[in-house]
Amino acid sequence: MDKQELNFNKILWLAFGVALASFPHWQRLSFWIPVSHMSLLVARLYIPYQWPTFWSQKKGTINIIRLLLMVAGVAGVYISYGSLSGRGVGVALLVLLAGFKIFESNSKRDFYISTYLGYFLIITNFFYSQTIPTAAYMMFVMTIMTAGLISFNDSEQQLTILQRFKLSSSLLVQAIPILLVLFLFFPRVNGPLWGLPKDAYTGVTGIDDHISPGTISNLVQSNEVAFRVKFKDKIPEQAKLYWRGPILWETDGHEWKTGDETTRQDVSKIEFAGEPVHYDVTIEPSNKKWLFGLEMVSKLPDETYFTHDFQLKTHKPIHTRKAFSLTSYSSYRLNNEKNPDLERALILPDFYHPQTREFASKLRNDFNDPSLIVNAALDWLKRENFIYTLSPPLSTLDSVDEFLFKTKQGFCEHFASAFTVLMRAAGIPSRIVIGYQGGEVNPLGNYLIVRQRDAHAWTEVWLEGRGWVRIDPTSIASPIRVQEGINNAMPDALINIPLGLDKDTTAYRLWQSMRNTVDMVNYQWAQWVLGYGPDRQVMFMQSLGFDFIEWKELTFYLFLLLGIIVAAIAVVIFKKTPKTTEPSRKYYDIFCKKMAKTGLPRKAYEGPVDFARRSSVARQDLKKDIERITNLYVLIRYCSDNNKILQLKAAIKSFSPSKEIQN
Amino acid sequence: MNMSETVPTIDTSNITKAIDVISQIILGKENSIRLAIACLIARGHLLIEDTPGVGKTTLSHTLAKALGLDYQRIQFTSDLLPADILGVSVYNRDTSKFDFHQGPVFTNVILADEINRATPRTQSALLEAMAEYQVTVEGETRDLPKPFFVIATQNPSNQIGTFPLPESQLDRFLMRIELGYPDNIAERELLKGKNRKDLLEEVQAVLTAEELIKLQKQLDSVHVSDALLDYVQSLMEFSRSSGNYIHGLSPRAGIAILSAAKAWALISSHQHVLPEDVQMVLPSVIGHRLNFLYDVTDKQALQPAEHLIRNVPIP
Repeated sequence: MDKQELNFNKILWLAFGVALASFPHWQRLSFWIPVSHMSLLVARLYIPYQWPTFWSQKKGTINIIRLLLMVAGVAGVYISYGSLSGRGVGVALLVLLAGFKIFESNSKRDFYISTYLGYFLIITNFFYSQTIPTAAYMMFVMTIMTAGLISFNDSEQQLTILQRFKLSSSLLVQAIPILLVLFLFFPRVNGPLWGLPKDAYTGVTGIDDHISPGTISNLVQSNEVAFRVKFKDKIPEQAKLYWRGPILWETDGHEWKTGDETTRQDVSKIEFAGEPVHYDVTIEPSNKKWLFGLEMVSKLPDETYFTHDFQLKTHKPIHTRKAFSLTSYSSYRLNNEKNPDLERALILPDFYHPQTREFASKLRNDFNDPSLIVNAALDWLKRENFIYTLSPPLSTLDSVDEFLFKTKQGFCEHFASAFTVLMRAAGIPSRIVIGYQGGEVNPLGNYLIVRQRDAHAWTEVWLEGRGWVRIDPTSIASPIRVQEGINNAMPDALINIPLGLDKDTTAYRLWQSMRNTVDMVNYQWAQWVLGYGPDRQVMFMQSLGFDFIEWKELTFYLFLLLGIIVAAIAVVIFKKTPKTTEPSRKYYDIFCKKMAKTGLPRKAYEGPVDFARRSSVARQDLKKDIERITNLYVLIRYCSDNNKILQLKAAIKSFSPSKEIQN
Repeated sequence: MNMSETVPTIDTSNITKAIDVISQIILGKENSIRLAIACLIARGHLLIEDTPGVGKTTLSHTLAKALGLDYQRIQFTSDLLPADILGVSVYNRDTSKFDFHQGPVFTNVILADEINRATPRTQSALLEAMAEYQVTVEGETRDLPKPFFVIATQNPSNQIGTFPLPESQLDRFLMRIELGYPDNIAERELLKGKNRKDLLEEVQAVLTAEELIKLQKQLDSVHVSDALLDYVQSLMEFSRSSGNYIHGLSPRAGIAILSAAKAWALISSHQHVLPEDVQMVLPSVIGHRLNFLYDVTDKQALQPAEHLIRNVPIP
């Protein structure tokens, strides 16, 4: 009986669905797990049909083999991962055990359990990726799994593959209203409902709290979005878009670090002037605490604070996409920068950068005003024809000296660190700020996309009376970088222009607009699907006319709506079934209509066989079709043989009697 | 209609043979013969209402012979007593005991000829046997042989000296059929052919009583779909709510329709009941159960059963 139920075809569907569901995990797992997973699936598809007697032993070697394999598998996971908990391990175990479950599947019950494991595998993919392609792929896998369930219950295997897909898709489409209601009305809470294991947040590129030569040039290779910005008014010009992140104070001559965070600061210590700029930053998960704003953020959004040196930080690392409303003023002045900070901004490691120190003392001798020294240094940079490049020659010992006096080639971190060292050596307090510069405007939706590629580093110097002044030494060597963005400054660095397309061609513009559309969709997806949190839910409810809604009320409405949907479905179902909804009857009515058009209407009290007999006599040419259709109809309707329904449908669909008798 | 797609699980070839055999004796009445056999398989009793001489007796006798059944004929008269049917105990001097002498009711097929000539008391003695398949004589209950099948004939009730069966007793009969006059061809053949009595002697049994009982049991395996039940129910619903009939059909009538239709389906060699089967048996099953509320003249001269069929669409 079980053998009959679980034939090769059904197992194939199941194995195919589960394999598709686990497929995206393969690259994330130890190599042997996907290999074993697939081997188990293939073994299940092969062994029982090749050696049926061996397979069907009730108690025997096969069970011992299964048990040993299973113990070995779990032990293998423990050895590979060194633990039996955590996201990666959990997925590894799930993939492995799904393989085992299918391998041992012998009954209906096993089949269902395996299918549910498959559905669960689908969900686990969202631990790693929540993009539209992932969601679309998982929808596809879900359709296949459901089609597998349909195949399993299609006892006579009459449906074609296409019909199974159709049926399974229509099932899923029917679930959409409930999905929408649950999505929109299920009470949202801040943060995830349950904690994810620690290893859930690895593998994110982005700006960190330290740089050394090469850090940012590596980042520039990444096309990932760091954050998106929607300005309330006009988007400011490119050269003004300095997105401030970590401030680096300490150097060991090679690496720069933020140093310890001491006291927190209050916005009231800053004097703002000029026009305010209002904007919303939607930041991608960075697993760091920095929030990137323009100079100088005037109001702290919720969940954020200022460090002593006015870095804008969040209380908790940003693990999910978050949106913040910010306001910045381009002009600001600190009222009392503390002296210890200024002293910190002068410290250089001993014995490093002798050439730079020498040059600095020369500058200090020539000019006595700090701002003149700054200008002279910038002039010097300009005169010496420094080259802005992604791949500078490797420095060996002293990267600053080598950059300034030997190679004269570097990326923004070289410029910033060298210039900062030079300033400190010249006695001017200075520090490095890292963050992003510029961004790409998406004309669709009119927002700014800032990618990791826009990562940048620059210098700030302390000038008496003016406070911290931004100096971007990179702009001396490559004004385009600042004015037009990295894309124009470094065309060869762009990994995302396909096949070296020329910028002025139609193809490039087409590609560009396509990319913008994709990002726009992604942005909306991020805003409305992934980012649909408590705030957005409140906004949505307000748009419905509920001003202050609590989660309790929300739950009430949720169940109310679900109840209405279920009741509506129930009404439709129960109202229709007793009468003509039985499909065979519906199709037969179509047949009768077609017959009526030929002048042979069926009387309401006339039985199908009587009608067939009568009409066949009148239309000998249709006799075959009429008899076939009537036979099928009678079998379905009066012999309860529902497996013939598709045949009947097809027969009636293709039945097109001519009005006149044909010879 | 060709039902080649059904796998026949019940062998009905013997029934077909029986119908052939009987048709050679009762000419031109195949439909009535089929109905009579369907009635027998459905474990019902048959009432034949017609004028004398149309072949009622011959039909029942041939039926019994062809189906391999014992046959007894009781001629009902106004002075017939229950004991004449059921049997009587007679004192045996040798054993000093009363011996029960079985009456003619202890047989497979009874022809109760002109049942409406007997008094209601005698009628009811037979009718009890029909309902219970047993008789109680002098406090002792005795089972009747199986199968037990009563064919009663009745003269049209307007003839003199009759006690028409009350409706409650008519209800005991699964079917009421009329034989009617044979058509021209059949009549000519009848006139030309041998004496029916002689022919009857030659009839060979094509079935045994055991096979018949088996067939009766197989009736349960005839498939009845929900759609068909819907149809039967709408027929009954219409009979009750339309206002055309004196009484609507009783639940027992509904059961009778269904089992007769199943038997009809069985002898027509299909394993499921069709609306056509219901329509075929309906006039005989409800003809004696359903009457028009007012005069027939404006009902297009239809019998009540026919009227019912025409007015209920098949769901």
